[in-house]
Amino acid sequence: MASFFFQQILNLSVFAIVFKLVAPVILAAIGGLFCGKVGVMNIGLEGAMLVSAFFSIVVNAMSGSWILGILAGCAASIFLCLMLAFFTFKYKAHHIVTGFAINTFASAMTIFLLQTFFGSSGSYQPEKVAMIPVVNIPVIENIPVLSVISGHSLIVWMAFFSVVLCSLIFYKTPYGAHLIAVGENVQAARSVGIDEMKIKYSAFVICGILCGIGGAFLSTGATSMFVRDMTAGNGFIALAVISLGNARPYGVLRGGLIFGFANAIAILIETYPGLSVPSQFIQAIPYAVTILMLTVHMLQNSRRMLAPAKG
Amino acid sequence: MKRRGTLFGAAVIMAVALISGCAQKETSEKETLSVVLYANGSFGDNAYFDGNKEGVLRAEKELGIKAKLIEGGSDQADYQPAIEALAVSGEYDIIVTLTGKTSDIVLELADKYPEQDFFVMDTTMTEVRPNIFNSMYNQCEGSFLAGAFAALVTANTELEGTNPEKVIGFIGVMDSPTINDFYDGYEQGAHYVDSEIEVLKSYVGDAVNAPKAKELAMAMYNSQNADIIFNVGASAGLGTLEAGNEAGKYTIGVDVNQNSLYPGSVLTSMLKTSGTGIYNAIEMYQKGELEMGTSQLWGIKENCISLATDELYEEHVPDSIKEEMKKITEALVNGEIEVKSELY
Repeated sequence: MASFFFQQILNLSVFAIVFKLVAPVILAAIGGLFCGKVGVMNIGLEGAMLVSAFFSIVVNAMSGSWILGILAGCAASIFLCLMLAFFTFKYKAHHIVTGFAINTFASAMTIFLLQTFFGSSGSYQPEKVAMIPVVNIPVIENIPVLSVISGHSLIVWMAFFSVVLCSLIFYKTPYGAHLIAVGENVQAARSVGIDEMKIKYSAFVICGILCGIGGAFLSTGATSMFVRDMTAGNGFIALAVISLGNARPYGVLRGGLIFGFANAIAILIETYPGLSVPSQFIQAIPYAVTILMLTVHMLQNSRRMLAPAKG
Repeated sequence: MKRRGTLFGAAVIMAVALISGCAQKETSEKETLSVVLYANGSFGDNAYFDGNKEGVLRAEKELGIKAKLIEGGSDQADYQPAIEALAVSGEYDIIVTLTGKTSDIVLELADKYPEQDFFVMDTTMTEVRPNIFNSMYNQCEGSFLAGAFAALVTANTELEGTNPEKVIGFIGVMDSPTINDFYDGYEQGAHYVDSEIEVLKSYVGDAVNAPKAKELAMAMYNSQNADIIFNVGASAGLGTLEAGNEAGKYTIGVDVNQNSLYPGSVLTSMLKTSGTGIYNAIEMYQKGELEMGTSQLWGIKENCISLATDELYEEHVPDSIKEEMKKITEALVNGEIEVKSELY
């Protein structure tokens, strides 16, 4: 069996699975990171992705354009994120409670709309879906090892790009500095004349866009259907990935890849013939790995915090 | 603050009591048979729950009964109060519930409401009550057909995209006795045709994660050289079917006829025509032929289990396979082949 996995890693099919699984998680995590920077743990990532998955496939099927689909998904997702921001900042509702409300609302609303417009409360499979294109890079796709970077969905690239962009925004632009200032010390930010609310709401808009892209990928990129609650915990895993990444963009990328890799391995193990390991155990691998990594990470952190005290 | 919460809670309880109290009064003489289907899940899976829904709706149309459909959703804590509310209302002659998740609830309620008749479909109950009718569909027998079919497909050379490796796949919702019963039949069927066939088995883990089901299927096709996969994956299983189509390989649908979802790739579907089962039970009840207080197993002979042999099947399946399947089906009906199940 070990040789089988080695072979899978060698012929790189494992990476195709990893990237596909990890793209929506990274997008949502980067979105959540923006909210995190202004001091809100956005539990509503899951719901934001779900409404986007729904609206993107509906608009996609009606218009025949994946771009319009993604835009519609983003609009729905931004709306939901702004709703969360509104309740949290304007009415001082607790963001965790509001986030849960958003998730429940998203799940119920999509099912309600499915039922109303498509007469089905479980799934929606339109005849024609304009799938989000796959990027094949001309020369590279034929080079043995390098070919791993070819043949991925556009969204996979957008996910990686979002990490780079996020890092640039956080650490190289005035906006990023304002964002961090508002999150860490509102009084200080106010004293230098930063419009606190503008910054906070803008973070949620960015989060909405990223969750929107991630959600659209689930229904019109990874598959071409909408199934109720199809986000299946991706939004929550994104939250774990943010923690895992120490709330830094590249950390999120690393955390996401670890989780994606564990997931891909679980999928390969699951489909391996004649395995006597209980399937529940295999299905728990990605989550067990996430918990393990969080623990390791926390230990590292606490050591780092203690170090100056010793010196 | 705390007191206000308690007061509010008390108000809610009173309101609920009031509403259910009102409902109870409305019990009156009924002429047409009134049936409610309580689905412990949601319709729209293009499979199991939709099949049951069709059966009840057909009974409404053809038998002139009054039918009501209720979606219980996925929260199991809701089932008991919801079913009890139906029994309390006295509005329905028959309450139909599905699967083992509701059998214990019904058993308890049947004692509490002896006037109310219950059908518990698609599960085996070890004990019943005089006001319960229980029927189990022999999914193991049907999966045997699916397994035999898959074995014939992977050995076939006429079909495009099949490879010489004798590997077939199975993707189920989760590792549960019912789903494993499908697998048991599937494996027996495959080995009946060719004992060397390797059967891959995976579970999605939930009923909605279609992207994951798709990845599992892709891994079976691409990494393990499977030619055909039997989808027992509820809504998530739609991902399995899509993978089959995308990989240029084959799948077998489940519960309802899924052939038309990806014509030519979904070669056939194992029909657990739960709709027929419910329809038959209602019809028999109407005629007074149904033996309440019994537990029955319905399979191929009773027309509750079969493979979907529609025009798409005729068009895309090679004749040699069709003939073999006819022989195997006959042998099953005659009792020449016996399918062993651990459940019943």
